[in-house]
Amino acid sequence: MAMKQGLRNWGVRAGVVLGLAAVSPVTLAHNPVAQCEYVNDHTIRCQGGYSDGSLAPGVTMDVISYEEEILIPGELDADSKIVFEKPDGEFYILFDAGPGHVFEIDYTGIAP
Amino acid sequence: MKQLVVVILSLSGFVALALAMPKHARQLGLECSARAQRVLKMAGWGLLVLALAVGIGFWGISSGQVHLLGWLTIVGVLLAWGMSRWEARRQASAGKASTPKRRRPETEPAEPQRSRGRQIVMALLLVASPAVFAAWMLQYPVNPLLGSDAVRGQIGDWTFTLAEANPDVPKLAAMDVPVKSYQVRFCDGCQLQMRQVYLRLQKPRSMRTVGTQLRGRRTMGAELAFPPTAKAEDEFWLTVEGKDGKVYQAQVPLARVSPNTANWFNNREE
Repeated sequence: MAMKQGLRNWGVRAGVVLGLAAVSPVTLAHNPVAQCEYVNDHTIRCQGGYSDGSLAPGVTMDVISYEEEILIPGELDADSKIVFEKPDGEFYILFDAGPGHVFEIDYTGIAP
Repeated sequence: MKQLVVVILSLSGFVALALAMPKHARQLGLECSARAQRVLKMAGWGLLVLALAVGIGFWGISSGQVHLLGWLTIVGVLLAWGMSRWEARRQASAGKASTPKRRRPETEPAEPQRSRGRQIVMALLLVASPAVFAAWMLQYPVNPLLGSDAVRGQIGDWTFTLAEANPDVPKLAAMDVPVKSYQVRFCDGCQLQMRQVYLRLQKPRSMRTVGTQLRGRRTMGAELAFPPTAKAEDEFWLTVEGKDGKVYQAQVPLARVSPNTANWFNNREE
């Protein structure tokens, strides 16, 4: 009987602790991050994902000119990658996981 | 006043829970029926939940919990002490009033030995708790937004403070992208006039690239991922989308907010 009561008390305590933990503010670091590299002089390969290492297949990755014209609208493939022809002129690559969740790579920041 | 409300609710909750337990009710010189015990138990828990809700209402979800737990600790210790003293005083006055004294039956276990051990443990706990708390407080970092390194500025009609969460250099996240956390606080009540707040390094090219959305009540924050072209001379761009439909922007040099990070970028370039 006493043991049963004891277990019940511990159950209540565990419930309170878990309840408080559940309402605690939790910081989830899921920043979109990306990297791009030249496959050859004319082709660029980019990979997108999140800062915790998870992949982002299907998420938008656009190539945009400095004049804000979308040159290549794209989406990451099943491996969270995208390959495209290098456009002429100045451009940047925008990995767009939603408003306020973007990561930008300027063409000067593409790894050789 | 807010603190007093939480103290009164916590104390009432604890007293109700104590009265719901026959042993503690006897300490207070009361006997409650089984039904009264059930009602008191529910009332006690109800008052504690109410204290939590009131605390969260007053100070927000994180500070509200901390305030409540702090007060529960203090109220709990005071109540435990107060009840045992109350019982001792009651027994002493009852002993004086009634003669002959009630004698402890021979079969009852010898209490003094056990209670002395318990007293020592209690005393050690009482000393250890504030000591551990003090040691923890000493090593706890000062709120970055209140530190001398925090940068104050103006955006639209509002003042803001921007600070790095810690002075460390960026961590490398997936794909070796450097990431680092920042905090922003606006003047009291100003946040109510804002729809969204974003922060990024380097000038945004468009509204689509205004950066990472900051979140939080009063103290806003986010982890920023730095682009591969980040340099020590770059600036942070704070963008506020006001409820008036206008967009406001302000710049703060990276080297002012995060000198260590600026050096880190310098070393990286070399």
